[in-house]
Amino acid sequence: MLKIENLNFYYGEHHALKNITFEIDKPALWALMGPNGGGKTTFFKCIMGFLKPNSGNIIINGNHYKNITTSKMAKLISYVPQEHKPPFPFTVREIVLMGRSPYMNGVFGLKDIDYDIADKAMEQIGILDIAHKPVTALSGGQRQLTLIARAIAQDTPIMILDEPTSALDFNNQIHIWKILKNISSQGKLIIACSHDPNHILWFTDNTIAIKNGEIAALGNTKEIITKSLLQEIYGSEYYIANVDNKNIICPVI
Amino acid sequence: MIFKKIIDADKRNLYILLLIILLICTILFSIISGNSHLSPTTVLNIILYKITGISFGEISSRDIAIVWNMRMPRVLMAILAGTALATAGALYQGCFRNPLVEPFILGASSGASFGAALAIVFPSIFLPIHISAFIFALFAVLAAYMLSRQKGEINSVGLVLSGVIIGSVFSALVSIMKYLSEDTQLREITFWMMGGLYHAAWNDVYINAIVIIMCFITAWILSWKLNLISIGDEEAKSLGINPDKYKTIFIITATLMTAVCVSTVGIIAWVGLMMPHAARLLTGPDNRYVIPLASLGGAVYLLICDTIARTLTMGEIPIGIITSIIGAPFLIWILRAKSGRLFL
Repeated sequence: MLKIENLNFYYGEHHALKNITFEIDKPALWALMGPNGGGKTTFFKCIMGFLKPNSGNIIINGNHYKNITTSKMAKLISYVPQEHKPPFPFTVREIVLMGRSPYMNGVFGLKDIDYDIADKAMEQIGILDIAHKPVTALSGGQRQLTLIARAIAQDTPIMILDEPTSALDFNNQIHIWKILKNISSQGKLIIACSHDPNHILWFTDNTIAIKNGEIAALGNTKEIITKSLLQEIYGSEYYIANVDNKNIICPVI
Repeated sequence: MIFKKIIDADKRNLYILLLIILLICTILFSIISGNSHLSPTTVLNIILYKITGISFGEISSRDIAIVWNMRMPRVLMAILAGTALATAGALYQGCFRNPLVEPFILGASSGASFGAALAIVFPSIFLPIHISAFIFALFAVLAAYMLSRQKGEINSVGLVLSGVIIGSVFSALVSIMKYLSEDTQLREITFWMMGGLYHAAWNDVYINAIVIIMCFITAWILSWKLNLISIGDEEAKSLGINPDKYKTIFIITATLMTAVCVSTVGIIAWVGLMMPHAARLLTGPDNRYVIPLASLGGAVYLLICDTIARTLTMGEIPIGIITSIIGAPFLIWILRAKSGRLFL
């Protein structure tokens, strides 16, 4: 589904991504982890075509990135940005309907089927009851759910989320991760970056760990997230405790 | 769920219908009112006669001149100017993702003022007032646009900032022109800058109609894309829209409308800021409805203001004064009472 070969990206002199190479061949929930400034967002932006890589190949569903137009990309990858407040009070339904834009043609373009798909996406996420509310009046968690519903309505094989839970309370964080797991089990490739290694450990199938623009580890989450990897990425010491058969990562305090 | 959608859509279509009816009533009211008293039947007779060529009663040529050559172009010009300013306001607000932006944010008004002042002070060597104003309005926006363009990308904050800079440069140039001008010229410059439709003639109406209607249709057709632009560049891109391309289209469209209208009627404040807000208050921020509603509202508002301007006293009151005096309290009311539904 997603194949990346020798990807390099420079911000001026700064070598932000170094020879990233990997391949994802089937739908799953993937985590992208790494310290601040490690290249996670740059990596996402390269995949989505917001930034042009200096060298290397990105192949998305068999399409070379140079042949993917903005409108074609919108049918391949949907993007959930970090939680933020838009300047205009669009309703939840209007925001979710925007996910249908890549399929619109004609003047006003929205068809009945688009409304149906948007409503189904909201139902799946459990926000149909707030469909008429302006997003500016919602809590951060509800806004994030709205953006996820929009990504579902966009109906792409791949979904990318940039720190989907960073601004949310504990309960909403868990809620979002459960929803992501559920969506990925329906045959979507989801890549989400997160700063909480516990969430990654509990919910994701596979993990890519990036440090200083290089892949530090890649593979099955339960296998690769170890004390030594955490120490390598984040610097300080950690231990992994086991409570009721659940692994929990704790810092050494 | 489909029901909900139909109800929502119908309510918004109903608003559009109501405003069209209101506009037609305002047009009739405006043509009938004026210093030479004409009865509604006479006015209707003249309009029908001019449109269909069939006369339904005795009409004097003096009345025809008043209704068809003086009041009618003025009424149409007010409608066109209201449409242009309101639509341009909605476009700029969407592009800059800022509900407090107005059509003159990129320096169009200062540029036009300078062009007009040049033409007034040096009538022998310079172009006619409205052509000069149009050229300098476009030139000011173009300069702001070029200034903020770096490596082929437009930064919205940079664009607004360079608009402010260009605007203040042209304001200074206008001051120089005022300083150089004689008393009658100074008076003319001041009057021009306060805006007014007293010069409106059929020729102006034709030119404005062509440009403004075409720009309006472009804006309305692309209004869904304006929705996407207004939520942010990266999100618009991830939804399949090239933000730079569409921003450029929207800015060109808005600037053309503003420039052609400013060059004919001078600077009319408030309409472009106020009407998109009023429209959003009625329908929410979906630009598919904001653009037609704001332009209808702008047309009605300017028409009412212009009718007041020419009938309140024996002379003419510059329309900019009236739009501001009525507009300011309205905007204060919106900000205080309804801000939660408009932004943040």
